[in-house]
Amino acid sequence: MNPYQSLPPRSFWRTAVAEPDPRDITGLWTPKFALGHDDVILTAGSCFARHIGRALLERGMNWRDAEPAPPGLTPAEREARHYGAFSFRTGNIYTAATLRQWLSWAFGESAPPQEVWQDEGRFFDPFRPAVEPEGYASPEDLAGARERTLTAIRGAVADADCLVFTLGLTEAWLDRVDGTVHPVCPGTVRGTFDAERHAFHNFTFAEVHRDLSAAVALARAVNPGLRVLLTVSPVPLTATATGGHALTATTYSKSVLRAVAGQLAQELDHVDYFPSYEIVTGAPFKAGFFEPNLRTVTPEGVDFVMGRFFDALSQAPRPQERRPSADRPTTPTSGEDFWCDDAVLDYYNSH
Amino acid sequence: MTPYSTTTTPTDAATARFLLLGDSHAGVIGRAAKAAGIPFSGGPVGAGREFNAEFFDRRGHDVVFRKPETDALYRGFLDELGVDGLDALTVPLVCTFGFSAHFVATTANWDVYRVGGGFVPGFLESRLFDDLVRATVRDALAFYGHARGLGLRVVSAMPPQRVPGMSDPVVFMAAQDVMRRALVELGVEVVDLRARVTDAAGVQRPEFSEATDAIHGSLGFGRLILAELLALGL
Repeated sequence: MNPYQSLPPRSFWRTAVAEPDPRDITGLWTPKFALGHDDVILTAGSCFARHIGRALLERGMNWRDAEPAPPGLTPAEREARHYGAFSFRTGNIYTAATLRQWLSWAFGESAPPQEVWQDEGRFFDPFRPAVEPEGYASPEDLAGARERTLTAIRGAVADADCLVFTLGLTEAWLDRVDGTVHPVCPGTVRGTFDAERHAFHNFTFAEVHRDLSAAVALARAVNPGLRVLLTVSPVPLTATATGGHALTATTYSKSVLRAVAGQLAQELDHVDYFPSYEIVTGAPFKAGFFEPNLRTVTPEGVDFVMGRFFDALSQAPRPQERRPSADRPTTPTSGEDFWCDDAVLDYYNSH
Repeated sequence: MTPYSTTTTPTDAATARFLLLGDSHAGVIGRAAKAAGIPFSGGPVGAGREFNAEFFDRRGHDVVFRKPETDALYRGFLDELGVDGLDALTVPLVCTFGFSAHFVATTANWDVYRVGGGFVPGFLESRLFDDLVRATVRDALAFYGHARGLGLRVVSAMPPQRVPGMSDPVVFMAAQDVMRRALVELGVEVVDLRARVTDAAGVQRPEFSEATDAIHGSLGFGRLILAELLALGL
C-alpha cells in the first residue's frame, strides 16, 4: 500500500482531466470556509473580477456594492464611471501593491499623494484615471470623490465576511518621487509619461507575497473575522514593458501570482484560493473560453467559472443559518395569509 | 458634460433615494436596502390583502389610508422625508400594492368560473379574466394612477413566484400578468425578475425564497430587486 493507492480519482490526471468531457471536470476547488447566502462579500481586482459581483447576486448571495452610483445616472453613465463593477469605485486593481496602497490610504496607514493630473481645464486622479472619463472640475472635487471611495472601503471592509480579490498583473509603474504605484502607465489613459520619474517594475514573488500579506493584514486588523478568497485572472497581459515576448511575460506574471496565492492560502487559515485561472486556461479547455483574440473571456467561460464556484460552495459545510421554526410550516397549507401580517410586524422588530 | 455633483455618490446618508410603500413583499426590499446602507424611507404598511380595494381616500393631492395604523406609518415616512403629502414627494415611489397575487388567486374565489374542475380554454387570457383581476385590485391601480397623476416616478416589483396551498397556480400566474400590464399602462416601471429567480418550472428557487414560510421572497430576492432599483437610476 502506497499513499497514491488511497487517493480519489480527482488526484490523477487520467481520471480527473484526460478522460472526462472537459465540461464535466469537477472537484477543482474544495472551499476552505463556507459562505452563507447572507454573508457580506466584497469584490476587487483586475477586470475579470467585475464578473463576480453580478454572478453572486444572481445566485442569491450578498455581494455588497459599497459605493453605489448616485441617483439619476443612466446605465451608460454608471458603466463609464466604473460604478457597479467592483465593491468600490477604485477602478481595476491589477497588482497586490495597489490593493495594499488603497487599504493603506483607507485605514490611515499612509496618505495619498496630493498630485492631480490636469487636462484641458479638467482634473484627473492619477490613481484611477479612468473612473471619471470627463475629469473633475477642481482638485477639491477630485479629492472629495476619492475620499468617498476611501470611506466606502473603510465601512465595507469592517462589515464584510469575505473579500474576493482577483490578482491580475506583476508589471507596474512606480513613482520615484513619492513611491506610489500607478494602476496603469502614466500617459496611457491620462497624464504624461516622465521617464525620469516613472519607473517600470516587474514585481517578484517575494514582493507580491509581501504586499498581499500586508494588504490582508491591514484588512484583518480592522475586521479580524474577514476571510479572503484569492483568484488569478485568466486574462493575459495586453502588453509587456519587460522587452520580452508577451506570451512569456504573461506566463511569468500569472505564475508568480498563482504561486503567491497558493502560498498565502497555505500559510493562512483565513485565506483560500479559487482556481479561475486554471478553469479558463487549463489544457483540457483548449482556449475554448477565450474570444478569437485569445484574451477576452467569453460569457460562457465566465458562466462556467462561476458555475464551478457555486457548485463547490454548495457542497461546503454550511454556516449556521436560520431554520424554519416548528410553528411556521413551509409546506403549503390553507390560510397562509397570516404570514403576511407576521412579516409586516417582523419588519419593524428592531431585534 | 455631467456635473460633478451627479457623478460622485452623495456622502449624506440621510438623503433618501426612494419612498418604499408596500405589503409584506416590500419587507425584503427594505431589509436589503438597510443592510446595504442605501438611504430610503418606508417599508411594508400592511398585509397584501389590505391593498387591493377600498384602502385609501384622496385628500387633496395627498392620500389617507383608511386603516389608522397604516396611515400612521405613512405619515411617519413622510416626516422622515420632510414632506407633508404624496404630492410633495421629491424621490421616486417604490410600491408593491396589488401584487399579492396569491391572495387574488385564492382558489375558492374562482370556483364559479370552473367547469368540471378546470377553466374553459382561453378563460385566463380573456377580457373577462382581465376585467375581474383589475376589479379585484381596483384601488391599488387607482393608487398608482393617482401617484402617476401627481408626476411621481413610480416603480413596482413583481412578487416572488411562490403559490401557497390556498391559491390556484394558474390564476396566480395569469393574475400577476394582468397586474403588470395594467401598471405599465399607467406608466409605472415594473421590476420583473421572474427569469432570474425561477427554476425551469417557473417556480421561485430556494435561494430566493424565505425559508420560514411559503409566500415571501428571501433577503437575496430583496437584494436583487434593490440592485434593479439602483440600476434604474434610483
